[in-house]
Amino acid sequence: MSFFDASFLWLEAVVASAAVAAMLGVMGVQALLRRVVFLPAALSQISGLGVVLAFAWGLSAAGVDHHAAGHGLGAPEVFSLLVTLAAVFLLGWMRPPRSWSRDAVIGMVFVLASALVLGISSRLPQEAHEIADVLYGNAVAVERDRMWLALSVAGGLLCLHALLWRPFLLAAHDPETAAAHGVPVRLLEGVLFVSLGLGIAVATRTIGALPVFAYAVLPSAAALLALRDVRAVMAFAGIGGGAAAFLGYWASFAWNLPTGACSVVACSALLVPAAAIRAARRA
Amino acid sequence: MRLADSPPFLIALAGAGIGYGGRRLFEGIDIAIEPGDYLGLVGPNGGGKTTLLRTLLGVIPPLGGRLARKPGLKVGYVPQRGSLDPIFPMSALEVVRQGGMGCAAGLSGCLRSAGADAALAALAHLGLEGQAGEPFAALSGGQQQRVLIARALVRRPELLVLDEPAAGMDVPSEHDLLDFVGELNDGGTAVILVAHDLTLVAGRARRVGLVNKDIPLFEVAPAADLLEPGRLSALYGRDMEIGGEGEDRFVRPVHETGEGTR
Repeated sequence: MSFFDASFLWLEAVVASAAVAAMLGVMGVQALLRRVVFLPAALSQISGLGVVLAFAWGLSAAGVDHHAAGHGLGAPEVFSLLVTLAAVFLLGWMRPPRSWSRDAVIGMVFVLASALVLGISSRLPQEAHEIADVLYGNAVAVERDRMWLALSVAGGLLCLHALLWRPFLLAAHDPETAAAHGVPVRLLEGVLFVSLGLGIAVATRTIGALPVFAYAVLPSAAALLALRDVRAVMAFAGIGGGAAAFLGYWASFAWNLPTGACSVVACSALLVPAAAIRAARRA
Repeated sequence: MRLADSPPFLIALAGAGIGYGGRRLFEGIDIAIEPGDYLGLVGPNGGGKTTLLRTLLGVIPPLGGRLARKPGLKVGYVPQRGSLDPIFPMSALEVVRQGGMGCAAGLSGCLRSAGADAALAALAHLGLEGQAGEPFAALSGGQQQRVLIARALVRRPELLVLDEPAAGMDVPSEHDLLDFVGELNDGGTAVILVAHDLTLVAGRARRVGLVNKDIPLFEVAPAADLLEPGRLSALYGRDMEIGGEGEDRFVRPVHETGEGTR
């Protein structure tokens, strides 16, 4: 059976992955330009921490069955989203000590959240694969309602970023001028970070933590390597991320390899044409 | 100073404390910027000029006292060039288009960038129409400075604020820039120019503010009244001399031999 003959197996997963990959590619440009490259990874882990805390505190049993939560927007997922947004609020608005960069704080949060996820989930009574599915999604099997949720969130956030990309850039590139001109810098930063938190929480739950980090970093890094116009950078990162998601699934199907790993390699492959474009430009 | 008693102003501080992070640099600051004003803020590096400027612009709040601003005031700000991160992939034109954003005219203005035609015209005004498509980070220091001025001007400001605009420029470019700013002021745009080199503002600004948090000293008066060796020696903590006339006026430290140097 060819890849396309088997579309009934992968259609929802590929559509959901391509949508969140395009969203993460565009939002990743803003993260990279702010030099907070580990923010997507940290938010992904915090989102997972919210899930295991929801299980640990019995929110799954009291709210929605965790199998149902694997398909729709259940109590663990809502709680996870709230925990992620709270973390976004703290990470986005706090002022770290001068001797620490913001990325250093984000790295500490990432390590701590990862350790807590491992520690708490080891004490939960549910079977490990059930928790892993709720924690990090299942990139192979995405249900139709999950696909629609991913499409809705990705579409909404892409519209938000299409509307606000210039104010977001000004707030990061020259916050002092923005403030002097009366642009609400902290509000814009807050909106950007909340959009990252929402997008990453939903994406992590849909396709898993590793591909989310790859889609948020690699397409935007490739685009920044290749191009010198910020609109072209965002277009390259978004389209490249979506294309890498499709190629990852195709490679996974063709060679019977893990989907998440194939997605990461496909994202990394974007660096090759990006380096070629850069070399051609410089020649 | 009571703001109600002052003449029409664009921005004013009354009885304000100036500082940041809980650290007070100045107390009881009174200053008002009027339409058509040209104020030069001078003082040694690290003397508190930029902190005062940020407070005036509302970027950091005053520590007590009051900051008042004419409703709907359009400010064009030219920051220190070194504060901008070069990794942003933006053309000169894109940087200038950012200048259209500002919330003086309401929320919609916060999100609306300047049109490409207006941004190109602003670049052309600064002699940079040929560099519109070039990456901002790849331009020379002087060209970057002119792009930032074009960005400030594209919003047709009533008040143009420049923080160390001549830093890193050669002397002819420095004079061209200040002549250009003087022409804008002659056309009615109020100007605040921050400089650590008093010579830059000595022959141009109508009023001068001497700023040094270490003494502490904050004094604003017509340039002719403040530019005398005794006050400048107090500001810089060493003997100073003044020479020349008009735009050729210079200020320099006196060496022990009695000879100055520029």
